[in-house]
Amino acid sequence: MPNLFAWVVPMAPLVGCIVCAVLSFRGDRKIAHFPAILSLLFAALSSLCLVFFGGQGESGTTTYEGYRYLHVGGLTLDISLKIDTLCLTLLCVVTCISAMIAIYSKDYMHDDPGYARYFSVFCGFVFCMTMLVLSHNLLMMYAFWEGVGTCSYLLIGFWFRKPSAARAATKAFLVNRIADCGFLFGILLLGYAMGQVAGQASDSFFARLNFDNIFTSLPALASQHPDLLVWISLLLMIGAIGKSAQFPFHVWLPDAMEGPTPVSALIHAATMVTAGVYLMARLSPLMEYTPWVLSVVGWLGGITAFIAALMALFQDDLKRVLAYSTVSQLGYLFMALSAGSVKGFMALAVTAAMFHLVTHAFFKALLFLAAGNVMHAMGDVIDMRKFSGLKRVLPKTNLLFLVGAAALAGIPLLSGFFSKDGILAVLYDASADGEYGFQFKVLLGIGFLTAFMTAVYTSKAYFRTFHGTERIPEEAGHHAHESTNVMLAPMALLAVGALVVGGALGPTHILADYLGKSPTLVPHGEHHESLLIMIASGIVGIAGCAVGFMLSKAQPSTRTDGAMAAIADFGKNRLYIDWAYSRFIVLPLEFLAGVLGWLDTNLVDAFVMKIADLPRLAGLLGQRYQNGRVPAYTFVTAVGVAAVAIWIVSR
Amino acid sequence: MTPAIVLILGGSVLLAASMVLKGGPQRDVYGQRNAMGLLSIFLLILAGACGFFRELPADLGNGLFRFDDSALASERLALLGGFLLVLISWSTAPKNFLGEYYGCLIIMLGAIPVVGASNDLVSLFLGLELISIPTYIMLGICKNDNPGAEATIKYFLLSAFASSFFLMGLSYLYGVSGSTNLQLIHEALGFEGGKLTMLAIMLVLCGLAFRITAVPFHFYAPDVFEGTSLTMAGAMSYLPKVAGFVAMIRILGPDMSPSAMSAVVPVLLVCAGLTMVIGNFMASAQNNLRRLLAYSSVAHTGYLLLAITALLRDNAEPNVLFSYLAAYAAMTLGFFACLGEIEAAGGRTHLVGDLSGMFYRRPAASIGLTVCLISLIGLPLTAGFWAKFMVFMGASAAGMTDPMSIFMAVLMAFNAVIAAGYYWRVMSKLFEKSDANVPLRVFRPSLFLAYTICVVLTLVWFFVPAVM
Repeated sequence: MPNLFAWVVPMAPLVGCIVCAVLSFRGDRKIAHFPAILSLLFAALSSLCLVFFGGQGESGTTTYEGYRYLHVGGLTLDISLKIDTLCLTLLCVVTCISAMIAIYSKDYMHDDPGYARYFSVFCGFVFCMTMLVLSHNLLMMYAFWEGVGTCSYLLIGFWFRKPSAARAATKAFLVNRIADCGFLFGILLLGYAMGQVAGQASDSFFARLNFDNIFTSLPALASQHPDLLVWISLLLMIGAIGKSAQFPFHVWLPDAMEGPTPVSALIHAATMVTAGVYLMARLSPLMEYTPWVLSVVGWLGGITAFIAALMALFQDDLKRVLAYSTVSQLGYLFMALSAGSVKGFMALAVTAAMFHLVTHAFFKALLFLAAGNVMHAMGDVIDMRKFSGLKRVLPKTNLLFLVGAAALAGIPLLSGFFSKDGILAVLYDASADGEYGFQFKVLLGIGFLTAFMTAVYTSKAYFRTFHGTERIPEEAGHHAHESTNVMLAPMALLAVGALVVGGALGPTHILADYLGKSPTLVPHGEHHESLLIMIASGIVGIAGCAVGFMLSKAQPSTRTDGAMAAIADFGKNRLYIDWAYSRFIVLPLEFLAGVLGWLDTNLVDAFVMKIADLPRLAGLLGQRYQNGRVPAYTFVTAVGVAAVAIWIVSR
Repeated sequence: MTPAIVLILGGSVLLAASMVLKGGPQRDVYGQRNAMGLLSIFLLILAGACGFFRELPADLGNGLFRFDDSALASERLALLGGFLLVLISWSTAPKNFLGEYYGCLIIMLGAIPVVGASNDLVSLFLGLELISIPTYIMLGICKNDNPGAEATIKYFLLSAFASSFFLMGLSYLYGVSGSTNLQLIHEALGFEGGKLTMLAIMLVLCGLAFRITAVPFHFYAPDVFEGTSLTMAGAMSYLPKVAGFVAMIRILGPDMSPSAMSAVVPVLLVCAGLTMVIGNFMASAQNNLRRLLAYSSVAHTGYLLLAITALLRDNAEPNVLFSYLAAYAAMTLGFFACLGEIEAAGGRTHLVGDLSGMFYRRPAASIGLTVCLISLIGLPLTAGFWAKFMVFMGASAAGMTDPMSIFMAVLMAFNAVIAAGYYWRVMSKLFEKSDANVPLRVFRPSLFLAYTICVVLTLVWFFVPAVM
């Protein structure tokens, strides 16, 4: 039975994707939401069933055999699914939230000409994401890693006639490609290194990269090729931070907000961007051998969390505030993961990261959908300078946004509070370590500072949007109205999640125990609840909200004095990182491309095009012998047979 | 043997019925069409069911026929091609000769398992002739004009010419070994035999080379394809190829000695290389769609010959070959079905240029053509990719010990590029803007069904190549 459920999870969205793709060719496109929502509900139900019926099996991890995709020569490709509690956790988040957002999209996208296309790619994304999570093999995971990237590209550029959307899609794709290069090289290097380990060399390259094989041969690998292992995990890490939009790859995520808002909620907040965290968590046994790489991860996460929060403070675009906030929160996850560099902390680190991943998925998806409601009502205007005081126009959205914002800001007893506290507590514990202690002291400081800034920008955005004098932009027309119930209902469910998931899973240790069933995440040490940290983070959250409230009241003109203005300018311009990239990386590359392009047209092509004519010319020559006369044919045939006969006789 | 018997007997009944059914000018052509089509489908299903529910003895024996894996594979390939061809023929079969047409087609299909299971020179030759003779008749009735007659005569003469080599080879084999049973021949000679045995094998292969349109027996293909109807061209690009390759596997046998291999393999490799190169070069110079397809079929024979050499060396299961043939059936017959639908709807398919802007006039068929072309090129997401990939892998694996084989594998890669050139030209024509933009609206369900099946198979086999 679990076998069936396991396969339904990815296959149902695939069917939905194909059906919607077919529907997009038909005239009647308005029913495309039906197969999509149905298939996603199926997937969500199946993944919940897997959790309740223990899909991970007795030993904590089970591989569900699929089918032998290919067997040619030395190449064997088996498609199977590997299920343990780690992957089930993410699987439930992905399928449940995607089902909610699909329902929300039904009304949000209702008069879009690409309605069926939207749902088709949406389902395609869920298929790729679930397969990514369920992959039993690193190479297969990579294939679906690229698959989610492609779907993300298609959805960011959904309104491809808009130049900014097309540019954003390309940017996201290219930045991801750069990071994926690292991932791919890491995989290839790992496959090569596995071939050097006794007992694995006989397997085909693909089979060597099965997670189970990797985990069993890690000790041998670590003793034989310790240097190689560092390179491998460094390269794999580059892939992870690219997908999860960490510094220096964070530039693509804010631009990705050009896509439809539900897509931003699903792909660029709740699921796809967490794939990097999942990769690190999945490969945690490998990472344990390379604490140095984990500490690099921690620094990058810390930098990202801080600068993204700084940038979020000075954005006027509501969706961009949320986007930078996502980048910042993902930085938190990586900070948490880096605590694994301390001996025996890996399981705790992964648990803390996964916990925040789950709660973040709920409240960030909720916030994005609420922003979508605002955008919907305001006639696609999302600039906070153009509207304010919407609490009368959008009363329910106001409430839902408040719940999400409070959870994100870390107001005590909401989801975000518990999970953020979990991360800070792990960092605090890790800072007692001798070797890496200093790092975690710094990271803990960054964590608190970022938590404060998070509360500031979240509450600032909330008060700017929903409170103050009521202003509605012209684009909204006269019908600025609350969204339909079809849109509000899934948001209400997400809001419940944002309220209680943290309290239900965190302090009760449910998630920690559940993840502990996975053989790679068996906890070693005892985790101490730190009341001090908890109180401190609560105070920071509330204080941040108060500051945010005051800032939202402040007139922009009061911030003209020297230092503050400089910081604001810095933040508004995204710390000039995008500017530096386009000046120092893109521009030289474009110059090089120009030179190579000239060489290509004038030297290479001039030559190659002539060669391309050769077959045609040879064919024209050959046509002289194809003259339609049977005697000519038989003559050539006879000559051929004679040649063979002579060769046989004379050898 | 039941499926073959069902098909051959059923085909004969259809032939006999055609004498009775011939009516006056007012006869109900469509009623007959549907009746004949349904009857043929029924026969194919019956044959398939017989094959499916048959229990094979554990000991294959040494009689006239042997049901090993390649026999069963040839049966499946015949049925696959049969279904598609009957569907394509439904609206394109010559209306004055319906009974003869379907009768001959079914007999041809029945003859392929006969060849595939043959364990005796006599049954092998009978099976091959049982394919050839209906082909003559069908060529004659499919197009009743001068080019049609020319194609028929040409095919008849050249086929007889090739059969003479084949028979001469068989008689030498019998003379050297003293038996017509293939097992006994293999045992008696062990293929260690001297030059006479090798010469005999070569002559037999020459005879088969005609069926599979290998160079230098390929000359008839473009002329015949151009002279006959689309459906018949489709049948001729597929059915004789299956029979020829299965017969080749039969004759060359599962275990050849190294000395025999050193004689046979180089000849096959050279033949494969020439077939690929000449097929593709000639095709890239073609503007006539039929002739282009004929040369493309020649080129695919080259790849298949490469697969045969890989099989001979590795003693591997002949799956590579049969997978390729299955993929080839889907893509080629699908291509012909799409062209058939365009023709049935009133479009022209004579020159490549005739397809210009077809996507805007007949979108469904054009998408079908595109998928088939992608598969013919051998790009991923289609069965054609795995087909070519497996042949390439097989050839290059065998080539580790033999530079010539690796050279041929590389040559195959080059040829795939050349082929992509002319297939792509056809594909780009479909989507270009043209002056002729009257939509073609006549709908033929049978043809639509035929190419839908082909497209679905082509796509599904990419994801599940194990069932190919």
